[in-house]
Amino acid sequence: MDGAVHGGDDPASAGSSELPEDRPERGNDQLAALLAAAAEGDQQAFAELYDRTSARVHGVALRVLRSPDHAAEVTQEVFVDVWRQATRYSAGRGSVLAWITTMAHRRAVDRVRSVTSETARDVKYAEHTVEVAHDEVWAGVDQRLDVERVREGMAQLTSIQREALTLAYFGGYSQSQVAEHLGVPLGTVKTRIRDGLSGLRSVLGVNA
Amino acid sequence: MTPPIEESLHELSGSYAVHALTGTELSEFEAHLHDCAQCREEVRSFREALTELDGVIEVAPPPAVRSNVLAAIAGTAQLPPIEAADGPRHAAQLDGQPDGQPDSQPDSRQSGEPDSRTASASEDGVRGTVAERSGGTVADLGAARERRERRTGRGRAWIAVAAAAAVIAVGAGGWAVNLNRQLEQQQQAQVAGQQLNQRESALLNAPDATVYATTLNDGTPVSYVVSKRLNQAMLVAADVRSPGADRVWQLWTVPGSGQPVRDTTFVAGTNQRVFMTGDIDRAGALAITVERAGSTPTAPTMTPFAVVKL
Repeated sequence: MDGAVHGGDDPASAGSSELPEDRPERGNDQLAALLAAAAEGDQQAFAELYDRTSARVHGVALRVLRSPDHAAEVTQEVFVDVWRQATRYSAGRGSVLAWITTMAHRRAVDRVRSVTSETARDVKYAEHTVEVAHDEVWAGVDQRLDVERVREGMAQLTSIQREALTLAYFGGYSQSQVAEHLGVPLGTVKTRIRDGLSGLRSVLGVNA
Repeated sequence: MTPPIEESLHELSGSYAVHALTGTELSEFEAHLHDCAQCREEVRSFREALTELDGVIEVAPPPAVRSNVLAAIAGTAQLPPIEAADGPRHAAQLDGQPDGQPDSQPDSRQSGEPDSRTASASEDGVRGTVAERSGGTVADLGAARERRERRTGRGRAWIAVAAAAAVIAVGAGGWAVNLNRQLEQQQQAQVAGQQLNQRESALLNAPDATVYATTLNDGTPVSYVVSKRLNQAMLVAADVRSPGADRVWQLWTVPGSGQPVRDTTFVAGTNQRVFMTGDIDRAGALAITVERAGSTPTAPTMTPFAVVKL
């Protein structure tokens, strides 16, 4: 059984920590096989799953929490949860990576809300979040896509949608807090976030 | 005019996907997800998009995180797969499941999983499919059958993979002090402070009395106090939650060379001390499952947990 979870002899996949972007389904198959093995107690398979996904988990935690110590702790907690709940993943819920990063984001947001006081997360903090995300996140999205898709896609994600999405997703603000910060009605925030995600979905070519 | 409730709930799918929903809106939307496949699908696609976005900000964690994680999981029990006790399996899958689980209370024990009682029809199917796709993980039908048997408790393999239970021998005399300290460590402090009746005292006073610490499948710490000499065992727990509507916690004894034998049941409650009714002196292991209330299963209908080898 040892060799099977690694999906064969493809050198591109053996020991690689990056998913082959041109074949996302194959990457997910491999992660799912590792997770299934981990669900039966296979610690080695779990270690490989960790190696393939920890950078993404940690990156999310770091972006939301900004503190390397908190980010490291949350990353640890997430993977212990992944181990404990490995049997509860099923393909109908989406990709393995989405399952794991969702858990990571949830934990990171819960922690940032509990450890950071309201005053510490004031207007300047929020604006900084948006600025930095613009430079370091959205620009990165641009670079990953070819020009044609970008032109098409980015039109579907306006700057105010990106702003609301950034505050909620990377800032960990509740929708009410986003509304308050932006000085717009709650309903407007809900729509911007939802439309922004629809746009993001198109930009990144995710099946709707 | 206010829009129908259903319509305004759909609007929350984006906020939900980015964890920006809180309070009553969060619980209302989670309840809504149960019934709305469209929203589940939308949330799922939003999360895939966000995961893609996260690909842009990957940062490898320090090596210490890896070693800490691997050390932690070596001592961490895994939740058993979801198995319905009987009746039709539900195909509905709650997309919000990862959020509904205890990652929202990181420092506390595993909270109840109210939705996990809804068995997923695709759970086993997915595992089979994955095995096929990974190119021959299931080497032969025998291995597959063993896996199925393991999951339904009919096979014996689950005893071998029992989570390591902390075993603490309780010596004669001074048991009260030792037990108190040990049970406190197992977060059973409330129980340790309670009055014990004669039967309980006798068990705890037995020269071979041994305390095994383990957990239920929802993370609740429980302990067995066992004396083979007295042919007695009791389950001790500070705070047990309900295993679900119409369900009970079912204890089992496992004779050295046979199939699990149904023992007594227990339900939610604090300061529990539940005496088992079966033969302990010949038992090779003790275990617990969740069963339908009022049923009399002749065998576990799910993979047992809280398994301790005696």
